[in-house]
Amino acid sequence: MQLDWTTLLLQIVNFLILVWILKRFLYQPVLDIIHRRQQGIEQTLAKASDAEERAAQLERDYQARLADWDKERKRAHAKLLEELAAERNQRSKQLEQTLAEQRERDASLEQRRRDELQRQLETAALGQAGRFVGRLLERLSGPELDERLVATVIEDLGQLPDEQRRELAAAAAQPNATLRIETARPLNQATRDLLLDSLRGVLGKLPSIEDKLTPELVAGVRIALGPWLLAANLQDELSCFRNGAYRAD
Amino acid sequence: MESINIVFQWGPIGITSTVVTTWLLIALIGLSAWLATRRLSLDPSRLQTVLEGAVLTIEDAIEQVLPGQARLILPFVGSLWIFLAFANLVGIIPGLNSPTADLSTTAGLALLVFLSVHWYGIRSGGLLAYLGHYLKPSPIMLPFHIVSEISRTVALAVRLFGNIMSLESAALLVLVVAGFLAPVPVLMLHIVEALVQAYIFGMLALVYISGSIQSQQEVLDKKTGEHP
Repeated sequence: MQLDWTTLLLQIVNFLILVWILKRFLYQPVLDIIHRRQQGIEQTLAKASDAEERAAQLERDYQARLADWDKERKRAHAKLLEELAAERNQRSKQLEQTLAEQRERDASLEQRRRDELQRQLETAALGQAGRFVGRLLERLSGPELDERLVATVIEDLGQLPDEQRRELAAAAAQPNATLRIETARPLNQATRDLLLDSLRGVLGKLPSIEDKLTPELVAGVRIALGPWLLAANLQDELSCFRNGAYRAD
Repeated sequence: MESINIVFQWGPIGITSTVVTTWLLIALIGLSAWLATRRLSLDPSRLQTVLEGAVLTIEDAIEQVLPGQARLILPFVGSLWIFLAFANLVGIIPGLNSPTADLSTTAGLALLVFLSVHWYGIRSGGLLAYLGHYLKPSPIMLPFHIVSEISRTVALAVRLFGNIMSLESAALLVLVVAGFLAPVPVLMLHIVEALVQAYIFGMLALVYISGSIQSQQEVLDKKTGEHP
């Protein structure tokens, strides 16, 4: 146990040198690399925290956007329902109107069809009635009926207005005027004389007379003078009856 | 009394085997530190992981005793632990003696601890405040403080010297008496005891330094009105 001051001082210097060496080559580099690693970890954590915050913000934004979309969807759905209801009401009204118009047209058509049917039935009935009356009158026709029809002609000639009398007289005065008298069968002389007297009273002077037998007249007489025609026979009457029935349609 | 073993003479200065061994240790430790730390990376290798673990362990030990001052104390106390561990263990190598088995080395280290205690104390609170704590709680305590400072420094030097020297002496005695097989358990005991003594010396130095810093910190806290 001996204390050497030189060694003591040298050992102090040696240790201080060792402290410097270790500080320079051990503590400082190791602590620096640890510090850098900690900084890296802190930066990574900060980035992770930022990323987490951004993710949370994105999630909040996404949720808010989803909520907005949901509201917008509900609004659009409600609007669509309203539009559909309005469209349905409009279409329903249009359909009802169309149906009403169609019903009206159908009713009109039905009425027209019924009228047409009725007209056809009436026409057919008149036709049948005409044929029936024609056959009946054919069976009833004879000299008596001819005399009565000629009497009717004579009566009508007596009742003609003056103006027609003058026009008939003018027609009879034409140079080539011909008075054609058509009968279903030959008239007896007395009846023929009465008819000619009556015509002479209307026409003044009788033009040339043309007698003609026309069995289609069934009964009665048809007198033609130029454009004038005086008819009192069953054919013309039945024909007028039928035509009158047609015009009534 | 053992004579001083001078290996060579450098002018008027006699270089002892203790100094030469210390130079070898410094060269070994410095070269190892340089080799281990020249390629540090953020993705550590196994060696770097062990190195970082050792430095962080030392720093954590200091941090537990002196919170917030670890970076300031680390170079001194850490170097004490590392140097003493190597210096205490080098004695098991045949032909080499532990530098710490020389009272000059332990006294020099104790003297450095003594000076560092005052250095860190004055640096922490100022010269007057530091000197003032010797008069607390009463100026009568000044001689006791002085005796305490000297006695603990002497105890620090003698404890380490005595333990390491006795270990080497015991190992030599067992080797002489029992042959080459018996020293193996003794060598194991030597290793454990060497590491324990290194730890004790460094921890005592840390406690002394932290005592001086904390006493100054308390003075500053009282001045600023902070009462922890």
